[in-house]
Amino acid sequence: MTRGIENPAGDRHGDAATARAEAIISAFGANPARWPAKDRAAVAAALGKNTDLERQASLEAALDAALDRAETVEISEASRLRAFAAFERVAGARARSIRVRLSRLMDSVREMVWPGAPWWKPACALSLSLVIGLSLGLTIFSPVSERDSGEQTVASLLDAPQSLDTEQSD
Amino acid sequence: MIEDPDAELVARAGAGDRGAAQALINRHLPKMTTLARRMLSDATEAEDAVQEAFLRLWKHAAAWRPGKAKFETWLYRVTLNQCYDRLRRRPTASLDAAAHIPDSAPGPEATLDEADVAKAVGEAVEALPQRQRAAIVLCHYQECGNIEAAEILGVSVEALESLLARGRRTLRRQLEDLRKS
Repeated sequence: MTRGIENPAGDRHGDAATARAEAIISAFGANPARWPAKDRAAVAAALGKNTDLERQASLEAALDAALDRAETVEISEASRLRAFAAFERVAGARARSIRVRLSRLMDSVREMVWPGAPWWKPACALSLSLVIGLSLGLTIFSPVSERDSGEQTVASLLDAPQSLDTEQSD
Repeated sequence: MIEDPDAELVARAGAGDRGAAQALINRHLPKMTTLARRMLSDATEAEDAVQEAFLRLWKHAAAWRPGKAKFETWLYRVTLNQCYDRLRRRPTASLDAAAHIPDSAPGPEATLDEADVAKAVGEAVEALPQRQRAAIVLCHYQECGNIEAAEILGVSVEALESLLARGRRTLRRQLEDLRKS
């Protein structure tokens, strides 16, 4: 890649900087905006000190200008519409797929609960058992704390009368 | 984790948001089309390559997880791979024929009109080997940075610089020949 541009300063560090500048210009052209950001300042500095590099940069600038004269690319509205139509197709298919998966899941649950039955049968059975369960639960259930307090009341009544009776008999 | 300006739009598009999809199209379609056109030099093939890339985008949007690479880099890589696929399917012409720039235009470059020069430059770029062409298209026309361009091409930054330097050297030689002719 290096074509042996001489470094007028003649030092090793200068050689490396010149070689790097030459490599950058031959790869990215003469426009500093296209040079890698970390090398930009060093390449610009090397360019100012070396006439061979300047000559190379002017050749690359001519190539940049030629490349910029290439035909421009027009973007059609049809292309945008086509890309959006593809989105609609994929999103629609995904939504359908989610519905289908949900329906399959519900079918498999129904098959587990009541194999071969239409949907309304297991639904009714589940609803009925839920209603019966709740009703029974509400009827029979009484909170533990209330029962405890009732027992405690009875116990305290059984314990207390001795003194009361004594007082009353007196 | 890298900052990705597209991450939110991609997530929304993946969830079926039409506005986000439209925004992604507006943001990326022009650059993708330019990339494909300069790689393939054929409007119809380029359009197909871009549409195929968009189809892949819509299919993968819901599963996209930001963090590894920028979404734009992934999208350009998909577009570029679509271009490579199409180039591979083309009947192979001899390299000499492919590298030949028509010299039927009369006189030196100064007498060529703008359209002829543009056409000649386009043909010179088209005649480059695929990866050199892709490197030049990404760095010159798409104005990608060296790290992003290397990621899109799947090569190291050093390899990218080598591809660019070789491609530019070939182009300079070909355009020089054109000027002389």
